Amino acid sequence: MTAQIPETIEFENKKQMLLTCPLEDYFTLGKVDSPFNANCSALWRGYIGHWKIINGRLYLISVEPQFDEENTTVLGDIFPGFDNCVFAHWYSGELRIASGKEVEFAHAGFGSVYAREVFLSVEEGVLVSTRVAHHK
Amino acid sequence: MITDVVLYVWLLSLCGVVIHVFWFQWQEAKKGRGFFKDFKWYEWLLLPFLIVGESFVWPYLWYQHVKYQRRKERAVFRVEISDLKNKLSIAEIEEKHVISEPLDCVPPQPFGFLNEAWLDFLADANNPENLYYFEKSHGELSLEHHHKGYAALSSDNKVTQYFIFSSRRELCKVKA
Repeated sequence: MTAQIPETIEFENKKQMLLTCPLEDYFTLGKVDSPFNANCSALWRGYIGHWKIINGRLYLISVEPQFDEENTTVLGDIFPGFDNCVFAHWYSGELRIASGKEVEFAHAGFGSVYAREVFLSVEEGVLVSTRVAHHK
Repeated sequence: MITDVVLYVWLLSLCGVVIHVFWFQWQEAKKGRGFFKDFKWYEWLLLPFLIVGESFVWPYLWYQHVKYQRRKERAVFRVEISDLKNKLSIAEIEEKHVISEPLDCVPPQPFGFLNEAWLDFLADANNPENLYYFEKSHGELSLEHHHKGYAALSSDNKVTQYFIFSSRRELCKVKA
């Protein structure tokens, strides 16, 4: 698989790359069809989600369809009544946040390695622990 | 299982046919006829090795086939009775799973944004009385999923439907 365009996350007061796609879990668990189309091999999921950690919780702030001019999907279309903020209670797992220089490029998914990577362990949308890895 | 038996019988028959053909040709060769009539003594020595070798090859192929089928079966996620933990009523479950969150960014319903999937599960299971909480780990390639959910048990003790509200994905631990 081609290297994938990451999601973004606001964490530690700055916008960083999120190398995890928590919205995919919502589509799976909620048995909801994704409204996005895969029109580019660098973005099979067809959208970029913008996330934020607020008071130790994971929120989806917005979604942007990509490589699909006709697709006008916004957050409120996926989560009716919630246009600006969605608590990602369905997500449990590790969030991989990358910043700094790309120290190793991998042309496969989120396989590239970055100088600083933060791993947030999340349980049903709530931040449980944080681990930082530095790569040279 | 039926496929395995059919494959076994087919390979056994094939082995039988091969042995029969060799036996027949050997008898013919003794009379100076047939395919093996010009066989040298060392070529005759090779024949038992071929026959024995062949009888080792097909059980090996059969074994590989069964192993592949079992791996395929394991890849399909199923909730078994042994995975079920405690029995709860619909009201108890719904009360337990109303999500409280300070920014009001989640619907005030059981399972929040997964409420529709929960209601579909209840409808598909015909509003069951026998609901059980379950947790199950399920491996898929190099990933392991830790699922949490609720399963409906029929009167004849079979899991008919299940609903997953949490699925944690982790890389499989490599055995040392």
